[in-house]
Amino acid sequence: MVSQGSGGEREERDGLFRLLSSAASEGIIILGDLHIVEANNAFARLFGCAVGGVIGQPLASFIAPEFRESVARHIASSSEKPHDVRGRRKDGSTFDIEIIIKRIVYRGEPSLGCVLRDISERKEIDRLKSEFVSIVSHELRTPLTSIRGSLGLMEAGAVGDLPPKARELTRIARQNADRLIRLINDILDLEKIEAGKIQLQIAALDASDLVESTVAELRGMAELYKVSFEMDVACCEPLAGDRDRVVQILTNLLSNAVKFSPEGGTVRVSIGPGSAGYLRFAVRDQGQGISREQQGRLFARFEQLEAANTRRRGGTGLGLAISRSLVEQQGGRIGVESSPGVGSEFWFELPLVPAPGVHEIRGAEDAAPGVLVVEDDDAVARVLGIILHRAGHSVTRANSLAEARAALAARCPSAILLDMKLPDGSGFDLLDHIVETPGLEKVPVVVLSGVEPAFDHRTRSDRIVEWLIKPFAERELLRALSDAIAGRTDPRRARRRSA
Amino acid sequence: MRLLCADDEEDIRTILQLALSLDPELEVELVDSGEAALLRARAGRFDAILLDGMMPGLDGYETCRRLKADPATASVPVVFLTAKTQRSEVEQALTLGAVACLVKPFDPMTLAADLRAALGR
Repeated sequence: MVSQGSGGEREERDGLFRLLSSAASEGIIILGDLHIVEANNAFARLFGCAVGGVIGQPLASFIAPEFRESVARHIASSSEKPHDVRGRRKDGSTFDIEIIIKRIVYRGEPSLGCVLRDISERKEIDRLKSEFVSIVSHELRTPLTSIRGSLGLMEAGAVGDLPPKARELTRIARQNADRLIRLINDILDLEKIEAGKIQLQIAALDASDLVESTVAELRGMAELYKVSFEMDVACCEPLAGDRDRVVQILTNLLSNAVKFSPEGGTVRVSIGPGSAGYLRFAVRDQGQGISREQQGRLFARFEQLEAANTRRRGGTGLGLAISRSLVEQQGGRIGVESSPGVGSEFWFELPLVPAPGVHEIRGAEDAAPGVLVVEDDDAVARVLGIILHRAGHSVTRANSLAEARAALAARCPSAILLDMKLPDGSGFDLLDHIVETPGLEKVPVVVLSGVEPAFDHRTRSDRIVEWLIKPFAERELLRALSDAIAGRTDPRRARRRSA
Repeated sequence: MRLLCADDEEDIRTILQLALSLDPELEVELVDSGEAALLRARAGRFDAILLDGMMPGLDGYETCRRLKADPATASVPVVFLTAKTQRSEVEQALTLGAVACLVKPFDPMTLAADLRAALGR
């Protein structure tokens, strides 16, 4: 029990709170038992009501219904990071807000302090920016298609032989058209990654297979630079990542290493254990190395240590910025170790697929109902566990019908992710069980299947709110799940979704 | 192999004609819109159709949907040639029944081979 202090001290603190919060431009409220006990004028203005009218109201009444579950999860996670949701004004209209929630003690009681900010303008700017980038990149690609196409045909002699000087000039023009294309692709890519618009398809990956195939792709380039590759695999555990994006990071680091190695040099790629729970990839070159001051700037946009040199080597100055964004989006870290004259080692770490059992957590004492994942494939279940945990869900795993029935008898989940092909029966058997069992009739089910339904599954069970086809994108899965939990079922979506 | 190509940009049609003529087994017919592609596809016998994604009037996606809805053209494989490379757009094309998406800007020297690879021929 926290000391409440004397009445005088309390008045003093209340007065201080009112003074500070009245000067703030953000909405500030204090919640006791999820109901508002204090609010500043900015909060009332934001939501179009009088301060007196908000005291005693539940927080939920100021959040758009479809985001209430998400706010509840955010509160349960104790995260103090800003969370973007939609707010609901007194007149029922909704708008984009950012909410920061902090656990505090107010008047001796455990309470929640919330700061709410209107971010409609920021969201609109983000939308306009990405629309602009998308349009510009398309508009640039169209003329570049003609330029690149014409130059390519001329250079290759497809329209007759050119005099040597004209051929050389055509080659220069074609190479620079290629560079412009790479630059546009990189800008578009970086914009998408940073706006969180790429859909990561997280799966269990074999690191040595990724390195081998990337090395094979780059062998032609390495021969051109007279550089050889060496591989050193010291860890064979699967990692959790998006295959295409991990290959993109590896391609970037390996091609940089080749470009900056001396003739006859060796690029060494190693895979080994990293920080606890992570797999570490390292790419070591025998280049001239990078000073400590320069290392800090390496991963920034358009950062080229020796601009002329980099240009000659065909870089766009965005590769490392893209790699860093991609690594971070997959929950990893990236860095460099280097000394001038000794060469450089670029490394990145990505999360390992956790061992089975790690996500089979949270006993009956846990208040938040979790998601029941019914999936017999270990790798798929582990990846689902990672995705769901990152999004703040607690997860219970069942790898058969029998285990799923037992899990449902123990507690009612907020939603079920259901693989239809189970070792001891079909997912439909579990759907029947859910419908017939009192207390479970309302649990929403998202089906994960390798095949499309051969019929309209809603006629089979109205519990199926969505049918996702594997492989599905992480975002698609989380959207389906949050819709399911919020009770939103769009019949058009419920028919079929695949990523 | 008889190939029907639709692209609204005249310059790109010129390059397509030259690039695809490097493959002596390709017989190429070019049109400048989705509407023209539908008309020609119904009238002629083509082994494949190459569609630009963004065209005024009927865009490539709608053209593809109509080609797939018409029993006379439904079985002709469609490949997209698009300047947009977002995964969602590729998915949209594939969902509509296209067999592949090739990207612009393309390398004219490998376009015919890339197209054959996409068609599995």
